[in-house]
Amino acid sequence: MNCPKLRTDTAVLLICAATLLLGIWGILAIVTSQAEHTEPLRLAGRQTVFLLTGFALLEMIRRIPFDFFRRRKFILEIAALCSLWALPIAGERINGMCGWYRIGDFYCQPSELTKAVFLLVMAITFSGMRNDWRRFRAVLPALLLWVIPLVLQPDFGTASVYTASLFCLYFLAGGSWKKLCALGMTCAAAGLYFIYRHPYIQRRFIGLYTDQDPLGAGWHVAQLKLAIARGGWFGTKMDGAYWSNAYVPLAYNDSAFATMLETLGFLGSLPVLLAGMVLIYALIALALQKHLRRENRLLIAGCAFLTAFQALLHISVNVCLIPPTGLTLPLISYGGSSFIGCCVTIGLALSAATEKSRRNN
Amino acid sequence: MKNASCYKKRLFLLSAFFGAWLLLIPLRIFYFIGPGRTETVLRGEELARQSGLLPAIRGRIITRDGHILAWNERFFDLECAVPLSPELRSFLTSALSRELLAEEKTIFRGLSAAEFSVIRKSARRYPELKIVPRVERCYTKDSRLHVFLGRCEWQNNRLTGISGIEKQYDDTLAGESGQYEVMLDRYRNWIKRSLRFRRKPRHGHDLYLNHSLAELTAQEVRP
Repeated sequence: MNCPKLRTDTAVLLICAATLLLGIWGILAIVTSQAEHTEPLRLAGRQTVFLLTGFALLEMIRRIPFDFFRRRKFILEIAALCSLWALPIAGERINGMCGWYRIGDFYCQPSELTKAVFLLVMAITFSGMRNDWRRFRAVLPALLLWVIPLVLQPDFGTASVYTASLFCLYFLAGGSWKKLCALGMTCAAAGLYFIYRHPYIQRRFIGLYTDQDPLGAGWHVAQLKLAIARGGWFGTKMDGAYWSNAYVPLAYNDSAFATMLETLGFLGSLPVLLAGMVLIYALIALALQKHLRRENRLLIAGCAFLTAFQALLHISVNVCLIPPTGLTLPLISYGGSSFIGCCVTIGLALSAATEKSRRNN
Repeated sequence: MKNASCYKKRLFLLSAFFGAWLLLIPLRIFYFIGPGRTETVLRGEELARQSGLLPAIRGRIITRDGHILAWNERFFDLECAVPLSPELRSFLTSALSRELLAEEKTIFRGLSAAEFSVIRKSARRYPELKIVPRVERCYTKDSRLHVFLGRCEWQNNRLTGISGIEKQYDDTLAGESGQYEVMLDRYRNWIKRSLRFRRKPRHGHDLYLNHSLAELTAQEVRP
């Protein structure tokens, strides 16, 4: 098995470049999706502000020694959990989901910003445990504390991202296969129960796998398919993403990849996928650096798999492999919380990755 | 790390899992842009496009001295694509001056300019609401002229004269309907700037009578 060989500096440079490039591509996707609207540049302008803020935060967090975060793990955990659990009391309900705080004209989605803290806490927790039973027992409170508030919003998409990242970290920390399978089956059973309890989720499955109700449950899926088909190999013109402008729901956000496929086509979207792959590859390469502490490596790997899982889930929804979940495409979709949350997570991973090098210097 | 090779192996396993997942994506996209493209595009276009006849504007009937005796007037009705929710009902009650109709689809007839403006402003909030234009033939209030002028009726999406002058000069007044194609959203509303004409309507000509209004009302003029 070959290990990817990348120098830390090169990997960090690649990660920063890929983050910036994906952010700029995201702005272009937003411009395209809004070309026919009355204020075509409004969302793109806001996203540019988010990009600059996010990138500045990434750079800032990257330069802070990882020990700073390690020592403040408890305070960060309490703050993150409070922000999640207080949502039913102080949060704003949008599209049936109570997942935002309103700050003036802006809405902040805490579940995006707490991803970094979640990874930090779980990486430190798992790395300190040598006994597999103790590690296994730590998974349950983590699910209860971090995932339940997301389910209560209800935001099943983000809940699945947190759960998958938790399982990845548990597995990487040395968790046993059998216990992981048992956990997976329990979560699958819980998922089935939620599908049974929530008819709107059932309708999404019906919309995906059947042609019944094309104007209702099947609408989103039908429009995504058509946007991809219209894009073809080379895409429409930059201002020709007519379908994304008129039909695809949340073209700048939940359907960002389909918008991109309509505009750029299959061949044009390959560089975007490639940039995403470079980002994940560089993070995995950093997670394999032998001189790093166990918790640092777990955190970096967690960041890579969380980002990869969310991106693949979004893309799978957009190419109609799974029913719509309402997840954003990391670094590309419109949204300040999503973009800044991603930058903070990557910044924390880079801080963890450069810790040993800094010590050596 | 206690077992570094185990960690490395697991990291590669997870990477392989995500890599395999990633491979499915181009395959799926390839289906939509390759073998499944024609079918997908046709089905989507069928769902989204509507074509129909756009009635021509019927010409006016004008006396020698310039009085308009018959003309077309446009009214706007309000329709709702889905059953009214309590929130929408309370919004409409506050926005409209009269009671809502109990009909299944049309919930209000003849919106005033102020009502039209309020409903248009909330189009994004309530996409299920649809403002439907309706053209009606209007006549002068003088009832002595009604028999002379005759009546019109909608036949095959065309305002057709069925009696009086309206029937006698139907060819001049009626014009020719146009054919349009438009894109619809999921609530069957027309999408802005999507209207395309296959054939433009040819509007009817105004009919100028040889009599003045006074002559028409003074004597019983027959068509």
